[in-house]
Amino acid sequence: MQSHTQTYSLSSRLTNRYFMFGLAGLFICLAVSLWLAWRGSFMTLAAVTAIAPLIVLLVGGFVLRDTVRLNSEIEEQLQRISVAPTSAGATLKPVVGAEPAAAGWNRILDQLTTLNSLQGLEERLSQSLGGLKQQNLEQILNTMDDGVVLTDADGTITLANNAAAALAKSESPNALQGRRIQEALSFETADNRAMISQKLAQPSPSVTIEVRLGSDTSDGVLRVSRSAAEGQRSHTTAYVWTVRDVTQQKLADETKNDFLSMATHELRTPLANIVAYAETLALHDDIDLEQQKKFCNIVNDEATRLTRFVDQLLNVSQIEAGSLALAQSETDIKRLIDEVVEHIQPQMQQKKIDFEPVIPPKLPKLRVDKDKIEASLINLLGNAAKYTPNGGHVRLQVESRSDSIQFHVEDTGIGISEEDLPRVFEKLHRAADERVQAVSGSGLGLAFTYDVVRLHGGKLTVDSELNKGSKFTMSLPIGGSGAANV
Amino acid sequence: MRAQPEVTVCRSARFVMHNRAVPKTMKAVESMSANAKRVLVIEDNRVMGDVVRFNLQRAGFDTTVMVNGSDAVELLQNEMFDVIISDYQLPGLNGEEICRWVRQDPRFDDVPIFLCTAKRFELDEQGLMNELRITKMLAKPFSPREIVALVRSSLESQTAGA
Repeated sequence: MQSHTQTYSLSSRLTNRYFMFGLAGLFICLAVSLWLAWRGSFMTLAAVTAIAPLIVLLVGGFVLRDTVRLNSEIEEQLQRISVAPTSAGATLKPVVGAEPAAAGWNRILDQLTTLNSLQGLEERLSQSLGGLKQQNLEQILNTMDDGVVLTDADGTITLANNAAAALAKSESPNALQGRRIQEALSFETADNRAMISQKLAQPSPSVTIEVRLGSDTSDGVLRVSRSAAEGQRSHTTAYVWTVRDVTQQKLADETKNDFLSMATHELRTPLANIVAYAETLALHDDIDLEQQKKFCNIVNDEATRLTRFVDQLLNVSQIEAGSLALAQSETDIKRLIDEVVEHIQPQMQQKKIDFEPVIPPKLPKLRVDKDKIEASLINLLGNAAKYTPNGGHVRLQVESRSDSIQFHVEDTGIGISEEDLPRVFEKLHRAADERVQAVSGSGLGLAFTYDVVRLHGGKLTVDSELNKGSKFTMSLPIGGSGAANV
Repeated sequence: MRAQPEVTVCRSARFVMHNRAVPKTMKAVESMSANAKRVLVIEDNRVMGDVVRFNLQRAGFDTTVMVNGSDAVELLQNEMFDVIISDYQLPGLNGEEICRWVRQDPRFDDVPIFLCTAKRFELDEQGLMNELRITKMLAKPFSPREIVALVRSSLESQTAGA
């Protein structure tokens, strides 16, 4: 490869016209000198010998002036490049001339210019893409439900997203900058200050704390996680914090636990009675007949209670799945009410409640799901019996209107507080009132009744005053139920 | 709508075989000696309280049933009992509170206490047993035969220890 370059260099040199031009001048001078020497005119020879190189130089200089200018221009520009701090710093100019060197130089210059402009374009593109990336990141941060906060090592906020601002009840994320995260997001209270300080003082940058904002879960629960902004370093200069509001999750967990606890109790209590009475009957063979009958009735009642509770559970799971279906048929409402009254009487008698059914002698037949309407009325009357103190009064008034049948269940019981009233038909909700908690209940009955009445196209309303009593009104439409097939 | 149990349940179940039984219910009570051991049952579910009383009385124990925690403590202030069986979830005072009250009274220092509950897994059973010296935690449902046997053995071991 190298030898090829040398060969090329020699041949180009031989074909170089400056070289050829000088060689030709030399031959002409030599020829003229020989001719003059042969003619014997030595004076002329001396003159030619002195002038000829001058003439050759002058002619050569004239002929080669463009080439020399070209070379010097290129050389000057090359020198500028060599001393310039960057190649971009030196301004290169095209050269004028028909010489191949000029064409070559200009072509190199063209390529360089194209390259430079491409480089500029690339830089501008990457700049705009970088801006876009930053903008995207901000957008992503601001659409997150979790509060994301960047702080320095002391916990002073340097960046926050919209969710963090919302948690801090601040107008904008920028307003949080410069504040201490514990204070800005007010998750530090007098009660938990020591616990938070201890957790945050841990050597590991990754810490997760669950903070209750009040004595009740509904006051708010935040899950605060801290990690190092620059990986898992022990001496970090910045932290990334995520703050998640887990109140709803905690409330759901509590409801689930309460439900499980309630379900266990509601299942075990009748089961315990069944086991105890069955075993007692089997254990003693000298129990008198009346007592045996009494015990058998108790076993049966408790089994019925158990069945009813399991039915309620199934109904609620159907409500949950949205698949609670009605099996409607033409039903004699008068007869249905009589059966309900007969069923509830023992419960009323047990508490010496003055139970007053006010039923018109004639009632129209309705197309309803008999079992579910019966269960709904038993729920309403059962609640009245449960939450009315001994010796109280419960009234079932049935009213036939042109477009509906109204069932009013009114009691002189403990009543429902204003706070609990809007949630009374909510599944699993039971008032915190001690008198309610002392009575076993699932928190499912009214939710079920509400849904059954709704599916019949009817309405269930409640009017109540704490310590005075409650009045539930179930209204069933006559002549078809709007939502029956929903 | 509501099945009437007298006919269907009694006839179909094996309890029918006891129909021959002569009324002897009060026999155990009547034969109860004046120095019969006294058992206090605190249970708000009357149905459960009745069956426990039935079985304990038949086993020769003088049994009293209370349905409210506060009333039970009031009774304990005035009367002495040899064994206490209490439910955990009660109106008034709960089973744990009753046990605390009982243990602070030197009269009941050695009295065996049985605590029953349907919410067994929610309680720190071992902690309660150690702290309040509860003889045994009973999970519902429990067998009446087991209750009688436990009351007997707890009183026997008390006598043996004394």
